[in-house]
Amino acid sequence: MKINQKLLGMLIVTIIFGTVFISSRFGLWQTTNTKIPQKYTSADYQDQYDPADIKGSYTFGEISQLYQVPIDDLVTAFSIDAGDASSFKCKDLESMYDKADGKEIGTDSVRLFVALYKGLPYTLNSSTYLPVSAEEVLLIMGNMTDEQKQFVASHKK
Amino acid sequence: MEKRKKRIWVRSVIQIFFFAVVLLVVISKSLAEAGVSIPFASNASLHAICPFGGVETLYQYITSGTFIQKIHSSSIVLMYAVLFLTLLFGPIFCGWVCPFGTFQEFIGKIGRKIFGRKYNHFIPEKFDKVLKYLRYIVLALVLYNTAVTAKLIFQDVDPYYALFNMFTGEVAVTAYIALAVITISSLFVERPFCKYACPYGAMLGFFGLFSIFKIKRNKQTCIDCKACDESCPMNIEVSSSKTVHDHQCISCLKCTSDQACPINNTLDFKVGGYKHEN
Repeated sequence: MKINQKLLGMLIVTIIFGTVFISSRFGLWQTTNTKIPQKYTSADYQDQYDPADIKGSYTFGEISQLYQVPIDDLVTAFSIDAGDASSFKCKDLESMYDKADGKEIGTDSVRLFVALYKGLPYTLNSSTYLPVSAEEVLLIMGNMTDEQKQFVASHKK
Repeated sequence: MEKRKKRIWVRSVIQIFFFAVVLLVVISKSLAEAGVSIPFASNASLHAICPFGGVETLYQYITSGTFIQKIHSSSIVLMYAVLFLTLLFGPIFCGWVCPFGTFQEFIGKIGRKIFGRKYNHFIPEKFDKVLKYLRYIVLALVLYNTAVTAKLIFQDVDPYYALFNMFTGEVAVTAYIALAVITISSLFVERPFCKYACPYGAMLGFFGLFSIFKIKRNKQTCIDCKACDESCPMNIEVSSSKTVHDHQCISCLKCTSDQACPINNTLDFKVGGYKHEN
């Protein structure tokens, strides 16, 4: 059995767009965030949203509401303009902070901050950094373990 | 029976169509961020419609049920669709769908006009054979570093991302450099990124080895004119194989009796062998 270019072309378009259509019908085709983060699976935290699922498109207003972190503390931690705080997106931190030194402040920083602020379990990643102002807020909150304090002290800019 | 070489337009139409779809998605996304929406165009980002994003996020999806940044379930859906196509027809995504492959081919047409038959033969075969495995190293590095950092690290060196987001201000300098290098290289070598650096091409090339449909050569009717070898953008020596089992084949069908091969029923994309063949 051989196949020519015309039939092959039709099959490619049909299979790709057919898959998109069918997956849309079953709700599997998501091209944007649902703005509802995953919850922890462990029994101790099962009602808590997992900060690891914070997306770059989440605004500080949404994070404040979802994770119950006062927006003023987010503003102080990341030194953003209080007037724009509600609509400020996590991913905008990347352009706000210089990363020439290889230390990037971005969505990962917000995930880490929220987890440590709330005392929620979070895997510390050596490539994640926090602003000095965020460390100060976290120290005041007092939810960090000694290991987390050491990590933050060595991962600030 | 001999025939004249035909100009086949189907693949070009499909390539232009997918290039236009991706371009429309990128423009639509940019306009949406500025508060303008295009009717019927989705609000998806370039990442959301890239099947390689599905591969990149697979480790995190399996281990924690979440996606890496900028990736959504649509990428995983497309990853499965492309894998299905590859197991049927080989890395047809590379040869027919990938807009960056189309871009390189377009630049290559200029190179072919400048250098004629010398085009795509600048790199000595012995180096070319080794360099073609480089993309597997790129794939391993991308998958490892993405799994460790949970970030879309390839974006910073991805020429495809740079091409379609050129004016957004979101492209890293390194990606612009990669795009410039690939564009210039495409004037000398056909599809240089696909051949030597594309991590997704590496993965599809591997799975393509197990595809059901393959390029088959009828040794009894072949006149050994080497037109197939000349036409292959990936420098595969088609004329020496009965069945093309090459991880670089992109199933473009340029070599077949539909296009370059001057003899009917001699080089086809098919399942099974030819009748009356020893």
